[in-house]
Amino acid sequence: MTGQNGREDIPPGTLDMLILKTLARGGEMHGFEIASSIQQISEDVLQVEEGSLYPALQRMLLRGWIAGEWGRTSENRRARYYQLTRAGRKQLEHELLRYQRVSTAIARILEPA
Amino acid sequence: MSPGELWRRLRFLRKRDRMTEDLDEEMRLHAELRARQLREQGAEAEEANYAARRKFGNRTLLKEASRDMWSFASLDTLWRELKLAARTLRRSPGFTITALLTLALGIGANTAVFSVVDAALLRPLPYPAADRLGQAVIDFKTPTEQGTFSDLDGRTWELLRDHADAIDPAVYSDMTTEANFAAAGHVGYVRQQRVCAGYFRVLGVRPALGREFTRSEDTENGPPVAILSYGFWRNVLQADRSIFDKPLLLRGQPYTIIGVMPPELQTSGGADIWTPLRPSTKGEGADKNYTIIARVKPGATWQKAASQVEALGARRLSEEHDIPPKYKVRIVFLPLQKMMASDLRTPILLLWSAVGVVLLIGCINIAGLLIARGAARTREIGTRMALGGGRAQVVHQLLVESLLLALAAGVAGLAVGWIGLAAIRSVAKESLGLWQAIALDRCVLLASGAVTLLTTVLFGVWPALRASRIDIRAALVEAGTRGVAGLRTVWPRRLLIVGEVALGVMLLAAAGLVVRSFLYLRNQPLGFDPANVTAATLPLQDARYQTSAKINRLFEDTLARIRALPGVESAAAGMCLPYERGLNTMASVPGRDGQDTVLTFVTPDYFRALRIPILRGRPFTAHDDMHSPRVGVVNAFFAKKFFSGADPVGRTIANGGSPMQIVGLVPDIPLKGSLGGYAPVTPIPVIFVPAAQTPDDLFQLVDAWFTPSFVVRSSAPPRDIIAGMQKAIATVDPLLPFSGFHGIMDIRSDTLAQQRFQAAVMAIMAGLALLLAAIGIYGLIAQTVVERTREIGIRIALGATLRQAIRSVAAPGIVLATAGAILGLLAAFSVAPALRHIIWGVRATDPETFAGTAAILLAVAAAASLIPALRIVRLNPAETLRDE
Repeated sequence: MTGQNGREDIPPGTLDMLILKTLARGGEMHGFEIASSIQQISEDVLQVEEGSLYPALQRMLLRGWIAGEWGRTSENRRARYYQLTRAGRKQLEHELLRYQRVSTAIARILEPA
Repeated sequence: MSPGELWRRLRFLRKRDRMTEDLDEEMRLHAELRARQLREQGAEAEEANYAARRKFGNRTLLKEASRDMWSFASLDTLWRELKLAARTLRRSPGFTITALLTLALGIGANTAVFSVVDAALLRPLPYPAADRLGQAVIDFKTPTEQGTFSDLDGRTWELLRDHADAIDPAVYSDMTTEANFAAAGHVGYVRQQRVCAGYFRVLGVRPALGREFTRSEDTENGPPVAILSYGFWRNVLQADRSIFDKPLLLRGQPYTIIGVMPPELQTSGGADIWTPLRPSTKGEGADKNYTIIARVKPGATWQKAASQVEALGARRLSEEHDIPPKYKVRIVFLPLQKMMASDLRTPILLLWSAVGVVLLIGCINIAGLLIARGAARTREIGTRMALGGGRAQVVHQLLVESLLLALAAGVAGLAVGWIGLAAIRSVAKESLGLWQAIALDRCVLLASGAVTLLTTVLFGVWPALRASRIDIRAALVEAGTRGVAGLRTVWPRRLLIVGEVALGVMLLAAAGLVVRSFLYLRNQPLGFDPANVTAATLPLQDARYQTSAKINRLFEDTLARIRALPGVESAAAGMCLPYERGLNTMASVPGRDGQDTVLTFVTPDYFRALRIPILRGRPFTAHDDMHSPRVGVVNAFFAKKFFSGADPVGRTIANGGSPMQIVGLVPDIPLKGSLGGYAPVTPIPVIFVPAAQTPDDLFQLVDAWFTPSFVVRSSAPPRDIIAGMQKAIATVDPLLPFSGFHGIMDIRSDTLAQQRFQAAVMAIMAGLALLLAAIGIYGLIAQTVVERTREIGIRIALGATLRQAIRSVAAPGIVLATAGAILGLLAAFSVAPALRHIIWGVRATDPETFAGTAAILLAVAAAASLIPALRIVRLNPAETLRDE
């Protein structure tokens, strides 16, 4: 799983949560900003593949967790800015809870006896 | 799927191009930004662009995945599969047309017959809360028979009326008769039925105008009152609202109209005018001439109602002393819906099974075709699976094909059903005596839909599953060589052939029995000469004709005038004609009392007019009247049954409480079998009595139920005779016209209408089954010939004769048909006894019928096997071998 330069792919099942959390923190963002933000905050450990980012965004649009609106970047380029909806916020809480439960459980197993 | 999501998907459906472009633009921006980032990190411009694009992988694939995500994927796939299926079906028109025709005919026939089943057996009666309506009937079980008998007497009615508090009962006479009327300048006939006070209340229908009969009107010597149907009131009386003040002359007596029923009222009697029954325990009420229905009262349960009827019935039956100890007889309360159609149940279920069998054979044929097609398409399917098509996908595609076929067939079948129904509607209604409309209603449509779906499953699933089990490598290799016919596909088809031949034989045997029974009934020896005879009906229940003297005067005066017409050879009147029913009565013959027999009154020339030969003794003369001793003429059946065939002339019997001397013997004339256990048309023991010796009370009773007829033998054209007869009766009594004219054999047609309808439908169904079985066998052999062309070519090249080659190909068809025929005959032998109550003159296991059936089927099977096998004659061995 270790990529070049010590980068990691996103662990399966957590991509939605990461996107939702990034949007919760940063307000409106377009796709590239979301990917960069995840990479930066994880200090270059987590790398979002474009091939999975856009299908994930489409899926979340469909579910109604995020809403997209066309706007302009600082360089006056057309871009679709995403933001969390109320359903998205709820979903994020739900995913966080689940993630914490799972990681706590994993930590317990890995604790030295 | 949440509502929001559904909405977003639907919006996508409308704007899918826009949204795909959006995604494209988004990804383009991303790639550019990424490239710039890479360049800033020191990459070459071209390499940075390339790397950024590579990171996306296949963008078209991404877009497609996204589109699949948004759209209704399964619907889209289904649409694509449907289009593919339609293309595939169009590419093999022979198969498609055969399958469509087979299914459309099968489904159409089912739809049409189901409409009849629905009208006769299934549709609820057209009354409110009809499930609370019941009928009191006699339920009997004898050592040989069991069944129900729906006629009851006045004493039973009074017990139920006075003591059963869980029901609201009504009584009526099921004899709807023609009555002459004069009103609003019309003189004509109207169908009249006699019902008790409260009859309409029990049905749950209120009069549209006026009221129904009261108890005081419905008693002996009550006032003459009548209720009209809406149709009669509107069409004949021009919806005249002042009719309540004007008397209607009915049967020569002024009646006061007290009510008009609503237009939607339908009754089993089909009457247009109702008069009070005036039930009693005397006269017709002394014997079983009433029908008793009842509505379970609100608050009472059906069980309580039924147990009350049964208890009171037991009380009534305990008063009867002539029930043989071995007979179990009860009076029970049964749902009216069930009773209304009780006579039709067996014949209609038979017709229904017949069309069901035809559809089943059709489905078997199509399953066979699909298997053959699947085999022919092995290569295509193999290729598709080799290219990565999943097994489920292949099965799915094949199922969609059958679904499409069934859908098209369903629509075509409904059309065929609609046309078929238009053709049989009036015939079915009349010949089966149905009183509810036959229509393609929701129930019929649902049933046809269900049949269509079921057939899809039946003929679609199995071949689809088989096709999917193919071994890809073997399929591709084998399909290329066509060595020997693949046994794997032949055996299932062979079993299907055995099955459809067996079903066909069963249907053919049943049809054979029904048709032979009809022919037996139809071809009863006449015993009279129907040529040049005109018959006219003259209803006599008329206030002015209550005595024997008056009726006989009417007969004599009218007949005298008719005899004076040019070309008339003889003329007579009688209570009933051949093929009509006589009056059921009892006769005491030497050594035996109370024997069931049939009686009819006739004027002296009756035998001459019908050319019924007098075998012994003499016919009646004008001297056989009230002043001379009672005499009778009996038929050969009577003599055989009660005198063991000895000459009955000169013997004395008793009937109606007085002795009667037999003066003549005539041959058997077919009559309607009105006594239990007799065929619909049959020789039956008959006593003919002179009209002039018929007492007043017997005339009154008989005229309430029967319509006497005049018969005229004449060489003049019927039109002139009819005109002359009308003039003759108008001179004698202008208020009493003849109600109808017909040739005497028309009566036979009417009486046998149900049997004819049954025989016709069964024959058509058997013909269809035979045709389908032939198509099935033909298809199998034809396919074998195609598959084995190469093998046969080799055989012939190696010296096999044509005869041997043909035999080896055609033999399986004949062998399979023989196996199917044997199975079918065995099954038919075990099922046929169910028909014994509706067939006459032929045993349910009649060996001739069964042998004939097998012979017909084997002949057809041999032809269907040999015709395709003869193609071998045109085969050129050299070409066949080169042809791979």
